[in-house]
Amino acid sequence: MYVYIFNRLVGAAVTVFLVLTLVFFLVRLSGDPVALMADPYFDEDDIQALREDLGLDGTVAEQYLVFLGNVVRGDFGNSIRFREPALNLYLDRMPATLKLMVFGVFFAIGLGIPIGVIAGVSPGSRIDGVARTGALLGQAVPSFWLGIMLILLFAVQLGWLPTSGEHGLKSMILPGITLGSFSIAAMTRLTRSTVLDIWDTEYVRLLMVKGLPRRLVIWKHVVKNAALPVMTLASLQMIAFLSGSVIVEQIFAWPGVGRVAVEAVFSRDFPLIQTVVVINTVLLVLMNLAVDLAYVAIDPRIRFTAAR
Amino acid sequence: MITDQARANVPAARLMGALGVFRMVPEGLRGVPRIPFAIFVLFVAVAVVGPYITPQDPFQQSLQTRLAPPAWAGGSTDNLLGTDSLGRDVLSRLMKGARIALAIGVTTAIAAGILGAALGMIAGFSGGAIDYLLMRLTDGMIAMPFLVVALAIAVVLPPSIKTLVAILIFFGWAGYARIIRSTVLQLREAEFIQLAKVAGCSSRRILWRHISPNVTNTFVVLFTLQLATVIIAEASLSFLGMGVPPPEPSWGLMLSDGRRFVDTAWWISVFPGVAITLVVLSVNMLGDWLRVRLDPKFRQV
Amino acid sequence: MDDRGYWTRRRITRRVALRSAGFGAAGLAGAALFGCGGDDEEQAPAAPATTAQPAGTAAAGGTAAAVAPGARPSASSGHVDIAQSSLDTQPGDPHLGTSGIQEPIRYATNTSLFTLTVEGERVIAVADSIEAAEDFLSYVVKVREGLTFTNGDPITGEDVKFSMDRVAAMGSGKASWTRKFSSHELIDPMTVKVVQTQVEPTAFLSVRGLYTVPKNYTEGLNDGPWAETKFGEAPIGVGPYRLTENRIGVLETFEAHDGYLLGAPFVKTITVHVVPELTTKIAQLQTGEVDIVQGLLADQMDQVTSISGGKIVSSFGAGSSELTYFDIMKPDSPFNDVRVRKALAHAVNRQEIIDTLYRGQAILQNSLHVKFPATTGYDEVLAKNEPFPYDPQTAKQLLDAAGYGAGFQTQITTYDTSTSPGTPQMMEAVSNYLSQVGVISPVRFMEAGQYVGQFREKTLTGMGPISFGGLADDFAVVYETHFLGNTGPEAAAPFSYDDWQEGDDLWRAITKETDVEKREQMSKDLLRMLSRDRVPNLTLVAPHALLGLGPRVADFPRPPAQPYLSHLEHIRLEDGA
Repeated sequence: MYVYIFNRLVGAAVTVFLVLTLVFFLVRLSGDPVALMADPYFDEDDIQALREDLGLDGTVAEQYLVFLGNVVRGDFGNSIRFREPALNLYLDRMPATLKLMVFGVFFAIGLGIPIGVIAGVSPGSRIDGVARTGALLGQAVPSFWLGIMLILLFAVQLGWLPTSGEHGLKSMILPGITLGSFSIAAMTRLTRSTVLDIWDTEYVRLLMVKGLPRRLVIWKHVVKNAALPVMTLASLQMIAFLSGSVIVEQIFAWPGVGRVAVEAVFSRDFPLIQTVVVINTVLLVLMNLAVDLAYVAIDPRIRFTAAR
Repeated sequence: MITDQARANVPAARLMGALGVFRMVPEGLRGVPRIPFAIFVLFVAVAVVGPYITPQDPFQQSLQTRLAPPAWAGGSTDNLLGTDSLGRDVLSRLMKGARIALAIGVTTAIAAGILGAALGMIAGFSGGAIDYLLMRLTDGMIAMPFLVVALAIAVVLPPSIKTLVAILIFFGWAGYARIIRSTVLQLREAEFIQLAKVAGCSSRRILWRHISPNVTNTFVVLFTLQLATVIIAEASLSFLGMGVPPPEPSWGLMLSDGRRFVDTAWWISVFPGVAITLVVLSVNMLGDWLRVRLDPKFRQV
Repeated sequence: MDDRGYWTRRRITRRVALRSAGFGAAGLAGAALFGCGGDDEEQAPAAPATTAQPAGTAAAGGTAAAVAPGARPSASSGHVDIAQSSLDTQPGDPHLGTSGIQEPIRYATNTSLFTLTVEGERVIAVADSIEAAEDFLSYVVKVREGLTFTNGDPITGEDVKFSMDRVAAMGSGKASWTRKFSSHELIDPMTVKVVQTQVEPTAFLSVRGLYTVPKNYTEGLNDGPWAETKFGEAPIGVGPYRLTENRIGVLETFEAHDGYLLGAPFVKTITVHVVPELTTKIAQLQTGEVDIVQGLLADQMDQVTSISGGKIVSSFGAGSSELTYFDIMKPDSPFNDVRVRKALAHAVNRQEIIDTLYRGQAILQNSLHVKFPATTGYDEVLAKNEPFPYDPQTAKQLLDAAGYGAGFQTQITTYDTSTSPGTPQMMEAVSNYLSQVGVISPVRFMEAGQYVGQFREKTLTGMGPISFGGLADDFAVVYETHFLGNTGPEAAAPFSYDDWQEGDDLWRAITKETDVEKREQMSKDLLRMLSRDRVPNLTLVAPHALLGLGPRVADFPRPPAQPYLSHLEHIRLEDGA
């Protein structure tokens, strides 16, 4: 068991290392940020001084080694634009994005599971088709469009909710919905197939023979059996959430990591871009690991047959 | 007795057999969800034929008639769906956009598929360190935030459709690689492979005859999903200014450009928006259906 | 009498600018109307805090909206929310600012030695007088008596000298500052002498915007001699507002400083919110979440005016767009031939662009950068007449004469930012016009940062836009940054791809010229030669910078040629708002 965990941790570390390297070199393809920042009247000496100041002198290979050394100690470097530690900037903005992500996940689960159950209890029927189509809509409408439409309807026309910005619970609703709608389809699909799976089991039949109302049986079992798959799915969907948050935060003026990432890309702020991508990857890899371990803990049968 | 002619036909027949085509076609499209299929066929038809029959030149500007409404809402019949902010015909651009969407989707799917398959097979057959590293790499690729890294790459390269496709392929191969690899692993163990080996069949032959058909199903499903993903990804990148560059009328760009006219010239964004939604919805539903048809194992995914 | 030449006089002092009731936001007309005070005499200052007219009182015969601009309230009140696309890195430190987008902080919380009034007139502010030495190798700044910083500290010559030292040591503009000025000396407690490195009568114009920071306070922060990090966190300045909250990427909040030297602001607290998306900004205006919205396009005007009480204000001719010919010096390029350059200028229907894409909210840009009478070198004939009217026939003839009757292939590279949002569309329109005379120029999009970088490195080919905001003080200064070629001894202009001996020689003569009349005439000549004969750029249009106001705001007058959010102290709320 512990060997398994250890192996997985090592694997996670390797993954993160590969991503780190990939991003480091990719980002530096974009040329020289110093050129963007320099006063037009700077001469070569000034520019070189600025480069040294920012740690951008030396060959790329040299920079890479220095970077690796620093990362191991938790130093992700200073943001070129803000002249502050990139990690701090990221951590400052992370809670805001986290709030949206959690809201989004709950929204997706809150909508996806009921729809999935409705679809699953009468598979092949029109209700099933409509339910699944509805769930798929969340993936078929580009999120910036959905966000704008939601603002126009609920904030401008109806005046129920604020248009944007982070001011407490009410302002989380529209961006949270926009972020989460992408995942409804996956939740629905999963729930539906879980329902279909358990439908025919002896145990369920037994319960129904005993006279328990059908609905109760379904719900109890769905909740129990779906817990793990849903967790897996939620963690997988978190991957989409950072990409999604880039757009949602732009539309809703939400001060989170997504916006920081976009600004960093456009201003060639290498350390900040690297930090955002790497930390996100680390979080996701760890999350996957946690979910996998949970599976293993709960259902020992899966332990070593998982084709990883 | 094998005649020369028969011998000539054998490779083609073998290829088709290997690709599992014969398995699929006779089963036909029985039970396919009809509306999504119709929309999909319409989409492909417009993509293929559309650009030749557009009512206007999709790039023709006409500043004096910019922001004209659709024909039934006060506009002229010259522009059935109205004009955009440079006076270009929305309908013509919509039709050209279909081709752009399909072209990007198909190219990406094929290229990513080939790349992914190659790497997946290498991983599956090599085992050891190469397999390990490649799998950790795919883990990383899947965990990387698409939009941020795609943007970082897009900002560097000259904006063009080719750049976009390259980025999509970069992010797309990992899914294929994983599936191929696990298929390879499973089949390596499977009995009939062992038997075939014992009987003296070469590795390459085993590959073609036994692995390919199974893989094809997976690929078809992944293809359809990729088309949907690509269209949405392009829309997101256009929103950030890094999608298909103007004046090419990609749907994502039309939607993004038109969003500031939502109150005043709604037709500029609503039509491409509806097109995107319908096509992506249909493709996803077809994908779902295919999944169930071709391999019930995928129901859980 | 007009404002031109004010800055080329040797001695500049405070003076009263006469205002008339009913003055609107059309700074161009206003600037021409200006009465003059005697330039070289001492004038009584416009008494700031004691002006009796409270906000909203009608001027004689006018309506509430036409309060005499000179009137200031006795105390500020009320709150306003503003939405702007970006505030960049929001540096609290005025010496570290680099881009115009950050203006709200800088203009609101700081005032320089001289400043721009909302009518577009330059008026001396923190300084009492600025006088150039006879040999134009130094100038003396006398600091105005009785001024205080927003924390109550009095402003003295020491603070001005300290601020200059600070800029030279760590400011973002230190390279250009130290190129022009070698030292700053305190002559007496209220007087600073600045020694120049070369004869240049308008040296202090090219580095305008020295922001004064308090010496005692800054040193008291115990963060090195210049408080590089700590000052920006709690800046103290001499502007109409004080920065009270600065959340990067989210908002900035300001509070009024009623003792401001030019009069108390109307609004007591202002919050500028960062809202990247245009549709969201307008939605905010529609729901009343914000009162003012920046960065509107002409197409969005209807959405604002359809709000009950919504209005548009504009800064006249704030944008400035032209296409640079990157290949102008390459012998085998079509752009090397002036006939081709003139032909392309004839090929674009600028008026149609103004009428359609900008809905009339732009002016023709006839003379490069010198759109207003206030700039030295302004020539009315040049400004009012299109040098190359729309005439595709003539364009084709010229192309023919140059040997390009069959047209040629090139490209337009462009980008998109929130301060010049109409640019990409305009580029597409221009490309269309050019194709009608046979010049095929597909528009290639590049991300803004990439574009600026390559522009500076001179690696672009074909054509590309460059836009310049702000009111140019002096054409010679403009020439130095935008047109100066590469073969002279000075630093070549960072934005110039051209290398025009004749123009550069004339420019050198102008910078050394100390006679005001001659200088003016030479500037006009250079401008004429540049616009009509050399034509290094394809000038297009100068769009107005549009702002949307919600029902709570009575007025927000804009100076001309100002694309950024300045003069917040002039925002006025409706009665009862």
